[in-house]
Amino acid sequence: MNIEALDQTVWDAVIAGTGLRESLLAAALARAGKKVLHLDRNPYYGDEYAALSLDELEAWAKNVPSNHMRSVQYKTYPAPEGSGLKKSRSYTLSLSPGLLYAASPILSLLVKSSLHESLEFLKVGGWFVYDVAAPLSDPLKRVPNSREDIFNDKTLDPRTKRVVVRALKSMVGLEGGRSGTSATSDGMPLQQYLEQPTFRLPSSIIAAFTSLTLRHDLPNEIPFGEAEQRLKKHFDSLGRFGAGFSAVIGRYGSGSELVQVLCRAAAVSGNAIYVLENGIVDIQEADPIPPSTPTVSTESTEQDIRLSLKSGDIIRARHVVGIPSNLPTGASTIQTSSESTGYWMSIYVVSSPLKQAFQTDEPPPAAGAIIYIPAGSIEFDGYPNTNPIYVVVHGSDTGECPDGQSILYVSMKYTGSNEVEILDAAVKSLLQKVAYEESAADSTPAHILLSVAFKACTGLESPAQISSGKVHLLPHHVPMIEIPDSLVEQTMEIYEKIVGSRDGFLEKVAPQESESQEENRG
Amino acid sequence: MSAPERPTVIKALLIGPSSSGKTSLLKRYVDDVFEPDDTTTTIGVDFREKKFTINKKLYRLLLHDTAGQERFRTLTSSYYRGAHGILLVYDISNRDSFLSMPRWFEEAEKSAPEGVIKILVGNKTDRTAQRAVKASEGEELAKKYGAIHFTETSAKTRDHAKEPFQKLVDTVLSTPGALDLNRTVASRADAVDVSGRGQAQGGGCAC
Repeated sequence: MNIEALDQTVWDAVIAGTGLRESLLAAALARAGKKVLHLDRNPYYGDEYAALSLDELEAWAKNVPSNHMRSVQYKTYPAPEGSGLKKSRSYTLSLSPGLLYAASPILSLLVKSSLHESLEFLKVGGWFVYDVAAPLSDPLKRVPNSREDIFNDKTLDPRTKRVVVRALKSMVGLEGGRSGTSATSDGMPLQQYLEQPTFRLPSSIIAAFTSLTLRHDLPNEIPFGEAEQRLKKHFDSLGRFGAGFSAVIGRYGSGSELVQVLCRAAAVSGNAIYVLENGIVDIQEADPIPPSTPTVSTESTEQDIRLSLKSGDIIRARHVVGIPSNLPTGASTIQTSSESTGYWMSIYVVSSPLKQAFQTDEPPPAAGAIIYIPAGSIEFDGYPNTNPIYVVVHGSDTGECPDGQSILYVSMKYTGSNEVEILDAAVKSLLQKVAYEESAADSTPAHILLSVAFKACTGLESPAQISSGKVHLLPHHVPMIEIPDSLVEQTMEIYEKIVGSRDGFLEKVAPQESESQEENRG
Repeated sequence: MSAPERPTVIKALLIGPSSSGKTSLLKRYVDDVFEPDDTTTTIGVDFREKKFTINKKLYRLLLHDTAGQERFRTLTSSYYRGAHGILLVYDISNRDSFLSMPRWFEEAEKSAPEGVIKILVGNKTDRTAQRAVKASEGEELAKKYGAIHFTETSAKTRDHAKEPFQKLVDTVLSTPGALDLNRTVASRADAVDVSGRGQAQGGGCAC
């Protein structure tokens, strides 16, 4: 292969991995005029945010390129003629579904830099609690967003309605109420807070509020202070982009599309080169320091680092960035022993459009929905789910699956045994009830077509962000339901170390100014 | 008259190996210029735009260039989204450039919407002495991979330089259903305006 001249430049930054933070950094650095070489060891963009076709996902499952995703189980299911899986390419399945709240700093950064024009965002319309005991036709209970929602809820008695409104006011300052909760309640679990004598809310309402936290813990495990922040984010986001919804997802996948748009922006600036299926195998400081030990920032930053790439090239760089598992220096810092904490994530393709989940009163149409299944709702082999389950539903309007089907991203905290079976049971239960009417109409019961379950381990904590002068380690992160806001800060921190300031982060420079190409051969 | 008509958007891409003259062709078509010393990849511009009217209907042709991501064959799949047509460009004075074209056809097949219109272009006909690919070979390749048109061009001398673009537009407009390929653009109405310039109703509930 024709590796032209990667060694002809001293790269300002070599970034290993095209995860979202790495790509954001690449775009910001390239727009600031820095020369960037951006690598990914995979044949596709995105790393932990990748979105894959069926074939790609199957290949991924056979050989997972990540320390954090383990125990992958890829299963296809027999389906009646005509209702099975379609062509590999008609699916875009994300390793992390990644919704964004309207108030997310990532969105405002995209808008500020005009990159949102290359993306399409769709509404996450429904936010529901699954009520397994409800009659067949009505298992999804909408999470109340406003006083009207609460007063229109026929299942609540007048006293409860008043208390729910009061609780909302106290928590998030809804309708001008002061969100003046005392410091003492911060450490109190959410459940206890809501069960206080002043509120004494029923469990259905506690489940509804808990669902808004996007936390996989039980309501009695979530500190109220944290829950309050999460709820505030939801209510702050409500109505910003339209009535009745707080979050959006990207068409064709949020994180993976963001990555690609950022990487293209980096390339368009003329300062970034992209090479896939390549990575850094060795890092050598100019003074030979053993590559396995993270170095301390004592040496002068004037000196370049020498990098050996998988392709055999030896290149020079001023800075190197990546998560530990993408860098040779970082690998040794990962503790491989602990697998005990984390989540099960399972991606399902199902043979139902799950219309009920996308019902919405206001335009635009919804393409995504969140369903919260409280602990104790689902049973497998006599054992209930001990932790709540989140189901993120993507409809075919996302372009991620064929019409008539939908994708479910189902996640639950890891606790011990039979978890995949419990997630399967949850999806089957949902299909039976939520797709009940659809199934009744066309006599083929809705069924699972594909499931890909994997463990997303959070127990492998690498050291926090380390910058040893020139080698910048990003902490590992396991993106779950939401694209975390914290990635902007993490990226800016490294940007500042390389550029010297945060000013103009990701701002587009005028084309003539961005021209810093030296090698204009005739 | 009613409200000003919104132009119909046609998205076209250029792909093909490095140094085949994609950007030069683009510049010749959009600005009618040729910069002989400009061998660097397209810089600073995400896409170029050309507006025109056919039968009193307004069109916006958006032309996307590879931004150098063709160099290591690392174009993103999102680059291909919603494309109506693709110009696959090689250099007739460079045999390797031509020989790489099957892979570019395969990539287009894999990543672009089904039914996308493909046109094969052999560029740099001004380099008569260095010609390394016969026109008949290009013709054959176009047929083999289902390109609806093949032409040889020179961005430098203007030789047929506008033809592939015009052919692309004509074909998109005359092929039933070809415009609907661009589901992304067609369905803009369903998308949420995140810019805050839209409906912004302020936070909180709607009551």
